[in-house]
Amino acid sequence: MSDSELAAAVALARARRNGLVAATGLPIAAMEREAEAAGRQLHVVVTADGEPVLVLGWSGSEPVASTQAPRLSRRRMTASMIKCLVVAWALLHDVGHPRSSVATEDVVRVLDRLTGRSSRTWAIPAVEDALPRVGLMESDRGRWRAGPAATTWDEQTREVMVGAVRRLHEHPGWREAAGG
Amino acid sequence: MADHIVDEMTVLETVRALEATDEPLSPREWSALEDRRLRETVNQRLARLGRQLIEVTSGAGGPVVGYLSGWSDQAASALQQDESDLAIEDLAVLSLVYLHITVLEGSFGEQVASFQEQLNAHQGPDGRDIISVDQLSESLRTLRARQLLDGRHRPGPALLRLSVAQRERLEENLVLLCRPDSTWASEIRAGRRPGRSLGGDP
Repeated sequence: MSDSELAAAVALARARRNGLVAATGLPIAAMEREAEAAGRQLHVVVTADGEPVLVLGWSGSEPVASTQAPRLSRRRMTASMIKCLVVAWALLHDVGHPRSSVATEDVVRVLDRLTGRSSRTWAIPAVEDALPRVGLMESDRGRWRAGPAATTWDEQTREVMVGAVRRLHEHPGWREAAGG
Repeated sequence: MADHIVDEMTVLETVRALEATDEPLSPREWSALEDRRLRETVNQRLARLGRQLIEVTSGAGGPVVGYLSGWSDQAASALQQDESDLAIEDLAVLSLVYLHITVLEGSFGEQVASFQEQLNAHQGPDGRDIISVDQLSESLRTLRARQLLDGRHRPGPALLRLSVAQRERLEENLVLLCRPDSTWASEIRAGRRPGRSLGGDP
């Protein structure tokens, strides 16, 4: 492997490991070629700070889990991550009161009110650690907004999220829980 | 030509599956992994992503039961220079679990109580006192989330993704940790002078 190929490979590895990698100074064209040759796609995304970053996604749609041969087991997000992501998304895309960012307390309050139970112990780590770590949320001056990885979702994943958010908006307790 | 196209599709499908899977892929179900030539091509594609094909065997030196992808040795060498998202306490807990389960129980065949039981029963000062009860819970959660530990607090599936060189490196690190003043440790340190592909401590 030549030095330039190795540089591209290491940069792609960093993008995978960290969820994203700052684009400045990287051999983006070479990285795109190498990613494509392996069934992946490199996305250029601008963060909340205005910094261009690279996110490693999939060419076309994501590999689909299968329980039949050839079997493919895919790692799932935890239930707490899914709940927090959907609530945060529903707040960000609330027709009655759209927001550019949400606070951790907003997500906790909605979860508490909708479920009637305290979510604090599991929701705060999910919002502030687990979701940012996989690039699905990113910090925006102490609040949270959609992360770079979310902008690379394929159409099927987007439809799933749109459906989940719609169901939450239609929940009889949504307006009171979301406030605004 | 048709064979080439089929092979290319098979290779791509297999690389994507390896990069997505949570468990080893069976070569009986993924034909590219059964064919040595295609397996080499798959490995070359993975290398372009800083990854490599990992054989998962049934026990040390046993038959291959499946395949995963993991960091290539060159990429691992570069990534370990980056700041880790694991705190020093997380790494300490992982080291203790690995020592107890993989080394004492697995390699030496000792009967050891579960890691949690041993920590709960521990009395008196030693290195473990640097980890508070709150920090321990947090570290265990962090390590489980990264699949470095499983739900029973035993070494997790992420450790299956280590290459032979990376596994040797880990075992050398255990020697440095447990027998730092030994001749063996001195030889390991001497062998880690700059120029080796997997330099630095993990």
